[in-house]
Amino acid sequence: MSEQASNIDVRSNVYLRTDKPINADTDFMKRVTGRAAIGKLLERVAPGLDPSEAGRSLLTVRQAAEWAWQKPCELCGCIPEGPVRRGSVETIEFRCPLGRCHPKNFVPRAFLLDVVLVDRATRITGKSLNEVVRLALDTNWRDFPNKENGKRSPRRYWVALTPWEAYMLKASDLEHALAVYTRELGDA
Amino acid sequence: MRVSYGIDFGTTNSAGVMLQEDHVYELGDATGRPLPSIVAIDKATGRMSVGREVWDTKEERIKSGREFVVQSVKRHLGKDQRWHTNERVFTPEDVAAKIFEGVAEQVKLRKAPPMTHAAVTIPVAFPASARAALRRAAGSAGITISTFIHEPTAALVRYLRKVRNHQYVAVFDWGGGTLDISVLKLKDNRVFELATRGLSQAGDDIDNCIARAVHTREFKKRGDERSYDNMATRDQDQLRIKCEDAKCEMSTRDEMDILVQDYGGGQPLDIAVTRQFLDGLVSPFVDRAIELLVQAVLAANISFEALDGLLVIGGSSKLRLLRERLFNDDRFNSALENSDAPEWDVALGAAVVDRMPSGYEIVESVGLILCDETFHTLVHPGERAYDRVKNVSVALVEDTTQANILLAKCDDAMGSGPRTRAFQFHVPTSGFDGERIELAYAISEDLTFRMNARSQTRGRNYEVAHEYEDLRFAYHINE
Repeated sequence: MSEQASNIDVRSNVYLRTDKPINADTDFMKRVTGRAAIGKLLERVAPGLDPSEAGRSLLTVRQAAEWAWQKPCELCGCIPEGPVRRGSVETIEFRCPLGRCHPKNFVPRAFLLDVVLVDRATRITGKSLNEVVRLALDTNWRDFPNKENGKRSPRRYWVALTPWEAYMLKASDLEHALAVYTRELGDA
Repeated sequence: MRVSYGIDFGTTNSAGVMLQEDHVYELGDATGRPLPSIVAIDKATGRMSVGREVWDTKEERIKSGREFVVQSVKRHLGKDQRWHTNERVFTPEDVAAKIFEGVAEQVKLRKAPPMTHAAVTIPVAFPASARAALRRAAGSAGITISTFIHEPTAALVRYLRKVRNHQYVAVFDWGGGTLDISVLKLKDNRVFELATRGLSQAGDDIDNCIARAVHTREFKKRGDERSYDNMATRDQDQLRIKCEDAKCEMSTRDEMDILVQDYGGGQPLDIAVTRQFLDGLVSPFVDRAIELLVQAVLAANISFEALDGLLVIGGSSKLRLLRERLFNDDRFNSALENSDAPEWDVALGAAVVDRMPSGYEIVESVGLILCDETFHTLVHPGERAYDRVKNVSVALVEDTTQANILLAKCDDAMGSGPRTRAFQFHVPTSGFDGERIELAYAISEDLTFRMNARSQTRGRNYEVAHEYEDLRFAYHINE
């Protein structure tokens, strides 16, 4: 019988810590990982604040995802969303470890979105708002500048989002993603 | 002018050299040879004896059972070996200290300034624990080790004038207990060790081989069937010493007599030894030694033509057959540098090092692997050993009860090249709290990387120390 090599390894779980107080040690703060540690970090750096509010301003996208999302799925008890690294690129993906739950288990959330933008997006794609939001959020919309629309005509829409998205995203984020997506389609 | 001392602390013999201005003084014993690294400890009194008197009577002492006869203590340094006498328990350090005393005693006999410091040579792969034990042993004998230097590097320093413009030099050091071969590279006044090979067959084995052959011839002549192993230990001692003398003499003569007045019950042993007889016995040893030299050059990834120098040193390098074989070997004859005083070269190189400021530099970087897999350089290539202690702070990034401290080595300073995991250790924690774990580190004078981790978390103190010795150094010759 041939000998099998180990395929596990110990990973470093420390980062450089400067003499500054922890809330000023931004490089270190960015590396804190795991829901429990992030929760303790928020308690330390933003005591008394609503964690989701504090998280939006203090955490990286990845940390926010972990903070919001390292809690079990109500259907299967697993943690279905998490960071996935492909080469040097890390994204948050849905991946139910039991293969039972699908990302269609969305959470509905109401947003005030610009009616012109929503109309344009659904008209160009020929898809429903939920479908086009899903496609838009799958793009690298954060890499593009957010051009605020001064003449917004807001209207209330219900949008189905994954739990992390529902927890973390604001109306301006959805509009930003839709704008980038429709602009790209328009350019194409 | 400061007097410099070098000690070649050998497995079988230990040589000391004193350097005063340009005068070299070999600190030999009464016979003018290096001190045998052998110590006898009286089991009743704990009295220790060292050197030639023990060597010449070792089999007798062993057989008597009244003494421990400790040989090759260099191999026991840093280990748990103990010798229990009625007076006290002796450690390898105690034995080594006695050998250092024996070398220092030769200085007193010459009424020279006392040996309070010395550069001491060590094999390339001498473990850190053994280095530390050797340093303590020297200290017990009143000698502060100014620096350790690898034996082949010391030999190269000894011949620096000859090899100054060489790039690749092999050092072939064949002593009483071991054969050590190193291939070195000289660049920008730095000595890099490219490859090493070793063999534990050396002068003592050759002496025993000759003694057995001489015994067989003598007893065949007498019609006596007793084997060498069945001889009285006193007889074995006498014959072995005579054979050792003959081996040395035959490096310049073609024939000589081995004479023992009383061997095997009142009869004299008188055997004429010729070159042909001796060469026949020595030839297998020489063949193996040269084969090892070939392996070392190949392991260094250089061609035989690229070898600029071959320093042949150590007591056993006097063997005429070895010198002839190397001289007639096209791979080595152009590089060959035979020594006139092969037992003293390494010690003399150490004495030169004791005189001139120089030191080891690390040739690779050592760094922390951080949680994001980046490499934070702690030690840069070119940094000297004996530097002050430095500090870096880290903190745990996840909520767990143990911080994983991982260190790696890399050829380049920034850690961007291929990395080799050096070592890892764990510091207990009380979960995520953002508190610092203080890491203090240094390259010690014994050429090890030492790290001490200290954390204070929720009123509890944790301290973990780690030592790592598998680092590559280059010796910086600073003339």
